Amino acid sequence: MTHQEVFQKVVGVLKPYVKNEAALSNVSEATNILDDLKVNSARLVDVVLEFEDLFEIQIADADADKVDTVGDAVSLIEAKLS
Amino acid sequence: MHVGDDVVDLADPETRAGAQHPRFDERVFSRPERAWICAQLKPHAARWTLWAAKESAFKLARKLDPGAIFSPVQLCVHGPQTQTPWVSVAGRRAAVHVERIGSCVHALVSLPELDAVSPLTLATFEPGTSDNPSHAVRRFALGALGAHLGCDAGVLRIVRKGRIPQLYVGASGPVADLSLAHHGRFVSFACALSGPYGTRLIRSVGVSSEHGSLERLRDRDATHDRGAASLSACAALACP
Repeated sequence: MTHQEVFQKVVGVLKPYVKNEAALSNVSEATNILDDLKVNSARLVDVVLEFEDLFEIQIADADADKVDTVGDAVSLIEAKLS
Repeated sequence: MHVGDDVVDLADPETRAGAQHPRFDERVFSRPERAWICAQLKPHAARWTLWAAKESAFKLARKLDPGAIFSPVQLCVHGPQTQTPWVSVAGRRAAVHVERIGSCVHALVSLPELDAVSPLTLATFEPGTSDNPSHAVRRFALGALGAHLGCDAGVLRIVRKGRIPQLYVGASGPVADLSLAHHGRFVSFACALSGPYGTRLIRSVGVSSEHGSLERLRDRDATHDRGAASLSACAALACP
């Protein structure tokens, strides 16, 4: 899976939980999931669980806690897939 | 004194039963917590009451240890059926204070433990030009705290260091530990004042006047509990 494919899948998972549609339309790897996209902490749990299902990986709370941006999520998933 | 608070709108679509991932409860709650949720008449309300307690505890934990990791299953709420629920934060026992007003669940956790917690107040605030809830909760907190401190809200500032908000008055340094939260129609804050302002804790939930539902929300159920009520009592209220 290419970096861009992981990025697109990550954005796809986030999309239903995003409160700030304008930020989503300009999403980049630097986009902050909580502050920019306004995904709340409870929905972030759902997002992590969906990442686990979609990419068939396991994400510990300690790893999830380090994810601030979309790029952080992409990097974490790529590390788990490698 | 340090505080953490959280608010949940039980009427918000994202908290409705079935809106969570099928493994949400397993990921977030310990086995005893899941058993407690299932045993409640209203598991939906019970789930989010526990969540609010955990989120409050984490906000407090991060103030005491900036390296604290958000692992909700580790922030186990003990004794949710008792009048003295508590959670372990930084190795210390911290009381969980929950209140429910209609669809609004508010949780508060503090260290050191408080002798008494004032009842939660609910107020309306005027919607601003921005629909950003982060802006709304700051505006609400500044207005309410200005009234409490007897000063113009304009001299108060909320400064966030990392993700931790602090209250400043004029040019002085931080005067109070602060916690801010928002969800659905509600915003909330808890503020631990000390020094020249006396040692006291102020907390309040706000709802934008555009929702126009304050009177209905104030029509509290007869079984409403105040202070360190059991989470069971909060979860069992009739509405919604």
